[in-house]
Amino acid sequence: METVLRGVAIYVTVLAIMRLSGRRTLAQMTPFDFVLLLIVAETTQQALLGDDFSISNAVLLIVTLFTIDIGLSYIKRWYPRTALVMDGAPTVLIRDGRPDERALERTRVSLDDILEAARHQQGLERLEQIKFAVLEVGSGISIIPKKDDA
Amino acid sequence: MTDRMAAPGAPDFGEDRAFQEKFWTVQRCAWVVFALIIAAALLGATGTGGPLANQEMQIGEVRVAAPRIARWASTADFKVRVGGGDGHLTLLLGPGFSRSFQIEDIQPRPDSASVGRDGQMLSFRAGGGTIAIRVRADRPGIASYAIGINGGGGETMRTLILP
Repeated sequence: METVLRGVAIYVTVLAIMRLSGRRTLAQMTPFDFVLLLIVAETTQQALLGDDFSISNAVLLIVTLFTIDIGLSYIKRWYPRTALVMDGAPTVLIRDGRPDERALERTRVSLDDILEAARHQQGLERLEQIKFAVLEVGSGISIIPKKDDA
Repeated sequence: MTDRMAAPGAPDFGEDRAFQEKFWTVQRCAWVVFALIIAAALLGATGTGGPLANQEMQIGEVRVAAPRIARWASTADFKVRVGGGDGHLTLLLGPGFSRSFQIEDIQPRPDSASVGRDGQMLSFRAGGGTIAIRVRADRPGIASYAIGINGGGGETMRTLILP
């Protein structure tokens, strides 16, 4: 019983902290962000396992964490509002070629980040070539180029 | 080389929908099993708390609480609740106990401890209260051991130690 409760507590805590810390940390992951994630994983390990290093505990914990994840995916499907709260929604950063300064400021994404994504995805060279830039829920910045430059 | 059968003119995504449909069904069956495992764990069927995880036995005025299910290399607690008596209690832990468990801590400490063919004999000054014994399970399997109070022959208890 204790293992399941530990799993639920850590899942909810990590989910809440990751969500509240903002999307930018995962979307534009720097090497330091990666190290930070490793530290978080190391820190939560102790809370998850306690002093119980048995196989049963590990199996039960893995099953618990994955089942919560599966259950939440259904809840998010049935109640889209929950998905909005837990995952957020895409944020338009450049609309019709014009940067949305407030969105950029609130999401802590810089124009340099957008240009980097534009170079990677579309081989674009200048900001004026971008029609839309969207900060996606789970996979970084999507770039839609202006038709003339595509 | 794989034999890919995309319809003429259709994009070849390497899709095998029939296999995917079967696998989706297997996945959902597995999720039901996951849910059952968690329900069993919440009831205590995998040890560490829950109604099924512990067992109790009354021996005279003493009530012994022991784990019904424990985990290998993990700690488990035995509790001996003393109802009254003459202020002196001897606790016999049969040989099966030391084969399966390693004692990590006893509160309060026994006045004396001895070992013989019948197992370990621990003596306490206890007119009431609870004696707590913390153990670590040494090996997976079913542990069968006798617990005796004040010179009694001992009642057999069993603990399932999960790997």
